[in-house]
Amino acid sequence: MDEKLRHLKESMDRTILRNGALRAEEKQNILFAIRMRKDRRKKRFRIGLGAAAVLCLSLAISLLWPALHDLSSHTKVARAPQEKSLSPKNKDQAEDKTEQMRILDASDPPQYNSGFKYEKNDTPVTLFTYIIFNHYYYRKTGQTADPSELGQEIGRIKRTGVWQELRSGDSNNMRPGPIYAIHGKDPAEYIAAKGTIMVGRKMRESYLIFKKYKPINP
Amino acid sequence: MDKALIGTDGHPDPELLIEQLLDEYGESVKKLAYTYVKDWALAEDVTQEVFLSVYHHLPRFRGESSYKTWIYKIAINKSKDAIKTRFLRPNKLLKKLKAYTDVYDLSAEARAMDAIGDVRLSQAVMRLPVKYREVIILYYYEELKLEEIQQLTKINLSTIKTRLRRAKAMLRELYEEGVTHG
Repeated sequence: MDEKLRHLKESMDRTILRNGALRAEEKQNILFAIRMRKDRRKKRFRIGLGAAAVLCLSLAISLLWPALHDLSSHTKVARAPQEKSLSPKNKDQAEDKTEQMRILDASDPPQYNSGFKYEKNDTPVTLFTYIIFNHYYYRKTGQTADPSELGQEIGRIKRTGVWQELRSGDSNNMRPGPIYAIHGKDPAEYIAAKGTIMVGRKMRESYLIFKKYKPINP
Repeated sequence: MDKALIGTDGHPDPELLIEQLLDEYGESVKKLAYTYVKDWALAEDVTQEVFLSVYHHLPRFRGESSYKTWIYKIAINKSKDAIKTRFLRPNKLLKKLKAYTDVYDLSAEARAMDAIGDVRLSQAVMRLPVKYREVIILYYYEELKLEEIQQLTKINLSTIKTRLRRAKAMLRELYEEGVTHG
């Protein structure tokens, strides 16, 4: 048996393993399979890389978003004073908006005056600062007057708040104090009272100009 | 051969290398796989798997053994895996039939060639249980040393020797009683 086994290779190659040659097409199949798998790996790698990039980008945006948002808010705040100085009209609108926002944001907003009915396109009285003078609303213009421009005292603000029954000397926002006429302006149309305005980020005392708006009992 | 496959920079082109390894060891691997799985179609699949694995692991081949030893090791593992999973293959019956036909054709041809001894011996080897067939093939067919077989199969040297002794005894009996189909 040992002698036969020593020639096992020849015996098996002649008989049972005679079909064992690796044909050219088999070889090509193997090489093709290798290339296919290599391509698949490359593809998988590229997809993985793309997914990782998207993930990193999303992560970076989510991390940087608060900072970007803050930056954007600061830019808007910085622009606001510039916009105000562009023209008196813009200034008025900007002041009104600021005022409206301040009132809307207040923790205890003023109630609607039940006796007042405003018309279509009318601004609700709760959304602007007013003084009641001679049975009329005088609405804040956003403009200020220099103390030298002030005329004589023509009335007083007596109470601050929102009242069921309005009368001269009431204001929803202005502190009690004198009401002045303004030099060069009709006192029936324009009045001034001491209040505060925002300059940049600081509050400053100033004489605010109010314009006749509408009667309290139309 | 192994040295010739390594480039001057010590890093051969994997594509070129795999082609050369395929030329050099493709047939041996296929035959070795066949001695385990006894099915040429399955042996072809195993061969493909072996070289795919070789290609995949080429960058990590440290040259601690020869390419031959390394590839044979992969081939043995893949063949054993194939034996374990072959019963799950859907075309098992078809392949068994093909294997039967191969043996039948072989017998006819062998009779014509009057090479009775070769056929008897080969078929006796193939009828051995896989753990005995493995050592006979590696030792006598592949002409590997016992230490190399130990390295490839991770079987103790004494176990290999025992298996060789028992395998020869079994072969003797099978050879004497003659070969029937299958």
